[in-house]
Amino acid sequence: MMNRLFTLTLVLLTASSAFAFQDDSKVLWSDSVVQTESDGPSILIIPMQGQMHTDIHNSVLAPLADRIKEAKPDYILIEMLSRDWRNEFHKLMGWGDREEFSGYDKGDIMEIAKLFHVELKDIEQVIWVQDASGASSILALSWPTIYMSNDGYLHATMGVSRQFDYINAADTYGKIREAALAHTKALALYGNRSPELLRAFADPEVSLSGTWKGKKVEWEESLLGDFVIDAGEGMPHLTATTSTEVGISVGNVQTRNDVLLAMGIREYHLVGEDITSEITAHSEKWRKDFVKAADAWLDAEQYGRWAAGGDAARYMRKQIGELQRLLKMMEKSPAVAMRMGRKYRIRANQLEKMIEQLEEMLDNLRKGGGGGGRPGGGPM
Amino acid sequence: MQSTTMKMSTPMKYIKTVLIFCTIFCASVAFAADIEIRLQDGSIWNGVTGQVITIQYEENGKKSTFTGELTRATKTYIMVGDEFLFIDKITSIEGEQTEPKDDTDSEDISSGTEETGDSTDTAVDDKKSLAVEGDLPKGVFVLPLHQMVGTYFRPTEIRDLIAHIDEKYGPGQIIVFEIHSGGGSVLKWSEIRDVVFEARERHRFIAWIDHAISGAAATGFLCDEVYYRSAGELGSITMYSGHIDNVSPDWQLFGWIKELESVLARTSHTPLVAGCMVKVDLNFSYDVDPETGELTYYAHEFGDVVLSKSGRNLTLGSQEALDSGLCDGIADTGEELAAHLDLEEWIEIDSYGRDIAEQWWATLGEFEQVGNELRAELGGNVSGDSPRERIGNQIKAGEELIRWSKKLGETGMMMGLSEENVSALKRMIEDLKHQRSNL
Repeated sequence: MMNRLFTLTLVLLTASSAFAFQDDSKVLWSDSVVQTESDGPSILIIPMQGQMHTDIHNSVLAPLADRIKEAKPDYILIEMLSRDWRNEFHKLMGWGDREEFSGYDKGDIMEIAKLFHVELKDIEQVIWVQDASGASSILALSWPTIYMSNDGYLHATMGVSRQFDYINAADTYGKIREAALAHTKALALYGNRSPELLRAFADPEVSLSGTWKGKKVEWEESLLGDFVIDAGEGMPHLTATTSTEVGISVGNVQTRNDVLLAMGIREYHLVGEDITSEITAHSEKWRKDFVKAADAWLDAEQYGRWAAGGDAARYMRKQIGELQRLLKMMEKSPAVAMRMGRKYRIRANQLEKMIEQLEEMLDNLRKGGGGGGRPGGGPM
Repeated sequence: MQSTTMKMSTPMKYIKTVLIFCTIFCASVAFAADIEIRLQDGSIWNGVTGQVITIQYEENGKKSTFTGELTRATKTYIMVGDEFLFIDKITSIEGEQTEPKDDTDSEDISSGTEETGDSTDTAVDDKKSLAVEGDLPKGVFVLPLHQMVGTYFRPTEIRDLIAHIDEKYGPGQIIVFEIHSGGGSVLKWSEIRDVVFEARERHRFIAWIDHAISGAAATGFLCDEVYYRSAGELGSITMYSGHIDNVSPDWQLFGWIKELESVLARTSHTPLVAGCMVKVDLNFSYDVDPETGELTYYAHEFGDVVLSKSGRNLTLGSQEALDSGLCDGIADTGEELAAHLDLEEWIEIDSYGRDIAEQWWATLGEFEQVGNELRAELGGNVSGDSPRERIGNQIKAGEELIRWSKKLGETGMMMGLSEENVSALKRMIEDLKHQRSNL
């Protein structure tokens, strides 16, 4: 008894002192993953951070295809943080900048998906979803291998159903509904996932349940599976843990190293860092350009107000100048064009028309006539 | 019973001896952390943390000498007292290997030959408490969080203090929030939550409650530990917006309760108390096991001790908070709080938190004095001998408001100076200038 107590005490003390001597660097389990200069697999990081269709846009990614191939990455790691609401509490409270919400542009989503799943299909790809909602969730599901941050979500979208939910006639409702949702089948194909799963994320009217077949889940558009994700009234809003439990995500992670370790990578090196930086820089650039574009629009509006009496021609010229500057910025950057449309409800074709009308008015003034009526709908 | 005790005494003594022996052994190993420093000239210096050394240091052609206790060493730098010295700039190290000093002694640290200032013996601005890795902190950082959440009581100062601590003192510090506020913006509280939770992974957060109502109470919930002053009070977290009668709808209040519960779940206090602080018809009571003292909480009013019954939203007093296990202690003075925190004495390691709070309160206070006046002036409430002069004064007021928006930073939004408003102000000024040019 004495000896056993003695041994036990020694073992416990040894164990406790061993823990005491662990240093902080051993706290994270994935710290064993090491970034090197050239050893290990080559990884290309593709950031997909921010708003879909502005920060994340095919016009930024598609031109990079050749350079991505030249970089010869063994893996592409897409890091996605693209959400509407900061968290569930913010959603409940309705806190959020609506201009920063993603919306849903099927064309943009499909171009991005085709880039990665057709043009770059020979390169192995993994997506780390830090958080996603709506359009970004749908896009994320087009990758067969998803890891998710512990507090991340995959939120469904109402963006697709807005294209048909106002239609009353049954036949045309059915027509537009299927036409609008068809692209989710292609995304499911790319993601090696069930079309029923993708559809449930985009169609509020369908139900979704699943049945485990070994470690995989067979999804069906019914309530008959082993577990029900969407009873039909709501839409799927899956936490990282639920996503993992039902086989949508491979596992929960906290850091890039966690993802790499889960992929069986102990050492790696980054390639195409210029590509990564370029994508990141795009967000900063278009947002700066948007501020300039908004200024141009508001300046045009101000000059419009000042264009009266003897100064009319002078300020009309300034107004036209600002509108032309704005038009150029919108033509150059789809992100700027989208945000201008959302915030000021102005589109490039309207601008063109407005400029044309103002030029006519200016011409009339030069010829000694009156300015005529002002172009409607503009910043007058 | 006595004989049983006697029978156990011999093995117990034996185990005790082993324990003492092992503890001394482990402690000696822990202290005797050997350090090897390779200098630029290739020479190697060996020593241990805790010993007093003299460093010859050369940076940008300037030579300095530092003498003090070696408190930390890494591959690239060492800490001698409060001096941070890069190894590649050290030209020589001298120092006898001495017995390491104990924790108390380690506060007596170096003076570089360039330093002449006397060290003060108290709290404020004393870098002597710089934590050595593995040591427990010997003092605290205090941040007063007073007045309205979101304007005076902001995430900004919390973020600044944490950055300051991270940069100068490293992880494992104690941060005390001195809370005296009647609440404010829940949105700003949510930002505070994110800042605190991110930093809680590396620091210990203490709420010291004087008056914590609504959002301020919810801030107290974010901390690892909560202590009350004897007159302290915490609770009444019901949300409303604008007029007091404009209470948030139930679906939002229940969401708020869930949020508070999730925050409390990350502390040692029961999440069950959140509901009764938010909704008037949610109750809270508890039983105390007479033998074990164990507390059992109920979301109804039928426990032995009823803290919240229908018709009341709970605001806890200090003693009831302590009795019900909803706080960690009562302290009216720093010394009393220090004892609860297992500190030998109340030391405020530096005054950064207090300083930035004071500065911000002064800034915002000044704006509150002049803001409305400036707005009125911009709107035309100005004097002047001529229309040109009057417009000029309007423009001056607008420009002054724009300067204030920069000073107020993120709080500008809450004071009517959001980015959009500032942009509109700028255009208004342009309009005024245009108007003046046409006179």
